[in-house]
Amino acid sequence: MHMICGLAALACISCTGSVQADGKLGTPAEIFPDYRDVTVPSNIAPLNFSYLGEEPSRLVVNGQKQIKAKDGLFCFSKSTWSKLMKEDSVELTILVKKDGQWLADESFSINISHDEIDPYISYRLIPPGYQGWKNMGIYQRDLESYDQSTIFKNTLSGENCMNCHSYAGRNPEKMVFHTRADFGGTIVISDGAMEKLNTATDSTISALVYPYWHPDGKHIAFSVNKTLQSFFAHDPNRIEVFDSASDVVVYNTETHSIVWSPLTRDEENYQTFPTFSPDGSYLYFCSAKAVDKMPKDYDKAKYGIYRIKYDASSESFGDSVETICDTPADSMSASFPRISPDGHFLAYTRHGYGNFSIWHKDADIWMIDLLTGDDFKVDNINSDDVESYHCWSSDSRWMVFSSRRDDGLYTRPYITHIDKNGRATKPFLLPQKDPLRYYKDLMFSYNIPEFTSDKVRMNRRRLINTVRGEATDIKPSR
Amino acid sequence: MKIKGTRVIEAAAAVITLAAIGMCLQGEASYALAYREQQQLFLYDWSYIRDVIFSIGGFASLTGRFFVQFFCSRIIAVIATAFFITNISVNLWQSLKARGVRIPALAACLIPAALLTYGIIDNSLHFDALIALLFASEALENYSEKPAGNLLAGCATTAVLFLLAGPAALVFALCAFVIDLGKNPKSIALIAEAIVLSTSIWLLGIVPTFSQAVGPAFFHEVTEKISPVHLITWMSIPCALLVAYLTDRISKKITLPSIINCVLAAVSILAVVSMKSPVGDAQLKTYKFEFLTEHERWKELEKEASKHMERYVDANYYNLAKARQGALVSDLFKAAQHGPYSLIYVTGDHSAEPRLAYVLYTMGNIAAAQDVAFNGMQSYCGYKPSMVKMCAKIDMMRGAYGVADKYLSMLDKTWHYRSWSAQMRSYMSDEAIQGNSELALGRADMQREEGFVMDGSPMNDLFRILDANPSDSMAMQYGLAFLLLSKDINNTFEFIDKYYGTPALQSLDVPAQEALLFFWDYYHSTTREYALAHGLTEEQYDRYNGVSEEYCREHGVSEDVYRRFADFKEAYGKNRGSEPRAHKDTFWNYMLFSKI
Repeated sequence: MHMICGLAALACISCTGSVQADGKLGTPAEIFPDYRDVTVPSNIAPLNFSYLGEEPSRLVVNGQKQIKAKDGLFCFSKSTWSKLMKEDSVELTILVKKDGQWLADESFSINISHDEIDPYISYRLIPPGYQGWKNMGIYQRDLESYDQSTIFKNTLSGENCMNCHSYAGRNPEKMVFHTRADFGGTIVISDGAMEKLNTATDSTISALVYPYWHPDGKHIAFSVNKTLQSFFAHDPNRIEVFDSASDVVVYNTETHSIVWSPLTRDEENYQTFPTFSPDGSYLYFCSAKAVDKMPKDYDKAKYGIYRIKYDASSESFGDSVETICDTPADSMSASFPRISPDGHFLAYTRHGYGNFSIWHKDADIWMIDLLTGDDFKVDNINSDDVESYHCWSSDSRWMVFSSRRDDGLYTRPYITHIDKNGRATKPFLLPQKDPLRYYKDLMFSYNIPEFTSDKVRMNRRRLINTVRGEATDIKPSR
Repeated sequence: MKIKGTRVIEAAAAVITLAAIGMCLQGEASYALAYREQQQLFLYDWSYIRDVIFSIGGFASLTGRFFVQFFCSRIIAVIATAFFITNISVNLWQSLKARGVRIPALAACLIPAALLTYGIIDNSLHFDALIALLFASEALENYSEKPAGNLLAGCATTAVLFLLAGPAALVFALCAFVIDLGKNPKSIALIAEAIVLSTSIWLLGIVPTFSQAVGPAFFHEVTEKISPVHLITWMSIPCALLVAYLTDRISKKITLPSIINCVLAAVSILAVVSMKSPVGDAQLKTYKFEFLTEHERWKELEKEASKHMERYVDANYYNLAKARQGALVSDLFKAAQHGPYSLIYVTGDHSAEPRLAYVLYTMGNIAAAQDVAFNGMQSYCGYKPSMVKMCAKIDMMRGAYGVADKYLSMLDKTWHYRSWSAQMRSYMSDEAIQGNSELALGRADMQREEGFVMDGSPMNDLFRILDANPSDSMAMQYGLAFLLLSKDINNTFEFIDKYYGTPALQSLDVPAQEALLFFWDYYHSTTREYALAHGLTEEQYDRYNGVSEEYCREHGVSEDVYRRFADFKEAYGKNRGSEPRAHKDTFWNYMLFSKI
């Protein structure tokens, strides 16, 4: 009885405990993440954030409800948030108590788009290291809540490296990723079937590396790369990862064979980062003229974006390569071409040289309007630090991309809305229950964020057995 | 009287066991225990605690890590470990005693203690394993206080223990079955339960292999091969109880069981003592070297590392200790050196070795040290504090304060490193950095000419470091020592010519004087034709040949060195090229007689 009375009293205090602003804050309240004037999908998890000052603070929501900060953190309840997400925008005002007075910060909005976002993203969590990693794993995150679950972690396979996870058109049932070292191989998961492939062949320079699924769900384009890395003496970029050779091939998941064109595989050029057009009729890739002396001339490799016709039914290529983005003409380089599912835009990462843009502080996201040919830097989403890997949502209205803007080293996923004209809104950092604490404590980078249309579900035991089991050899068919 | 006598024996056995284990662990093994502290960071942080504790065996892991954080003190490490191991034996004995087994069985309970002591120096097996067994033994003692065959209590204990201590629950179940032998065979259900629980975590993919689900491999580093001794140790616990139980049943008198148990225990302990260590001598030394380096005990490090200078790792530590004491060049030939690898030995697959990080850091090769330190930062049970500290310092030197703050924030949550972290926070700005000599030196060492580090000879980097910061005396020492150990007299001359008189090379240490004199002598006794035929250009020959005695004197060569060089040449001539013993610790002797 006493407890019920106590709770009732507490409820009264919180109902009647609203405060009024006595004046304006002189300087803007510093918050993390910076969610000022971002646009979010209506099905996103609550955007909790922290006021970074030491003083007591409150958040006024739409001029009515007040949320009291706990250690600076403003937490939205699930019910409050879902109500807010039915509107077109939410107006937020931070009140800070200074010298006994409540001072109001400039109000800001969180704009709500009713273009729903794919419900999951998956990513690799890896120390942003140089050669060592110890623990890493591929995880998925429910965007509608804060739940993260493990797809596979390397403690189950001798702490080996695992990388390059990719899905066929965001389909969680068709996935590929590589494992390295003692349990090395490529794991292909397709509609419940799992197999491990030994993708090193006598005809290719390496095992298969960067993947992209063909829309038919049967073929996967891969690059093969001879990759090395060196550590800079002083450069803020810290590391340069470079290829001394690379080609592009297409793998058939049914026949276990690979095909290529002489135009995607030659010694005079490096070809990498393949991607298919949404209708599957073109294979896009990045290519640069081969450099004589690596690593000495690491900054002379300038990649452009090209495409070649591809017919999946006959596994044949066109006889010419078309230039899509001539970045080398501007003495720049391009990586990670990704075409929106509606075929309208090709987003890519543009930087000074080379192809491993995650270590390039000048790397920014650009887009090409494939209908008009316009090539432009995407406003609102780039920062002074690295922007690199990116992925389109199923409806082409959202993009998740990796950025090092927060501390310059640990990569974090940002999400932006892109309208039908290619205009992007200010991106927001992947929400967390307590983002300040979470991101500060997290000693891993988010690597290769990929949308999926549903949760990746698989039998963990079977996957372990597959990863630790024997691999099937693939063969070149030409 | 009988009870009192038993208690005296029990107490004496416990004290003797504790002392014996402490004795065994107090020497070299104590460094292995202390090394465990460098394999983790225990964070006073709920999210860290939650992540560890809410996993199978998590409570044992958390408890183990909690104690290990204090192992930066070797004494605490030894006492705590000895106490835990002794406690396991005491619990086993108490369990037997509760079931009416007589005092001779106590000897058998010492067998697992001997094995645990032996295996504890293997750091690939996490300390959690010992704690898990301690929990199992505590649970057994509690269980033994209940009537035999109390299935409800047994099953509940097995389940809870499995959650808290993982597969140690199986050890408990086997032991419970043994102590219930002859009284209630239903206890076999506990074994079945433990196996079902273990199998379930294997089937659910929580552990990759079945051996990890049922045995000590659960607590073992997955990248390392588990030593059979750990499995033997785990099995020895129920086996020792079984032996104790069966021998107790042999005779109603205690003489025969006493003899059998004591002989068995003695034989087992002797067998353990004579077994090959699960950790090699080289690894044990590495533990010691790392400990002394981390604690900056340079004199001790020098002494320990000088014992096996033919091993590059030892020589690297020896020279590191000398460099830190400012005596790398002056004492260079007082120990046997084997070329520049004695200064820095780099192998392709050792990119995460703390030794390499320490040496590179001392050399002023900050970027390369960061590469190695970052790779070495991830450790068996979390993060390696020494490498986290190094990464934090280097990011501060770089001006990457956001990243440094991340590492310092982690250290803020520790017991041992929080004060260091707080101290470093006061230097988190470009102005403040200059107030810390170490950070300011590192920042000044950042090479001006951009390029890749460790891309070729370490000397390439040293030249660039000294170009950036000729005031770095340790880089200067390493540079000169590298050239001397490489027997590269031409570049030694160029180096001295360039840097003599700069702040870090105000005077030449004797080995460098010897090298300069040797250089002078060599080019004054070498004909132009010979020199040109061996790769020198006309210009180089003229330059080298033009170096005069006057030049040598001006660059610090003392009269004593002149005199000794004359002695050396005379002795060398008399002995027809064999090694003159009186000049063993000279550059000349190294130049002419050491193989590198």
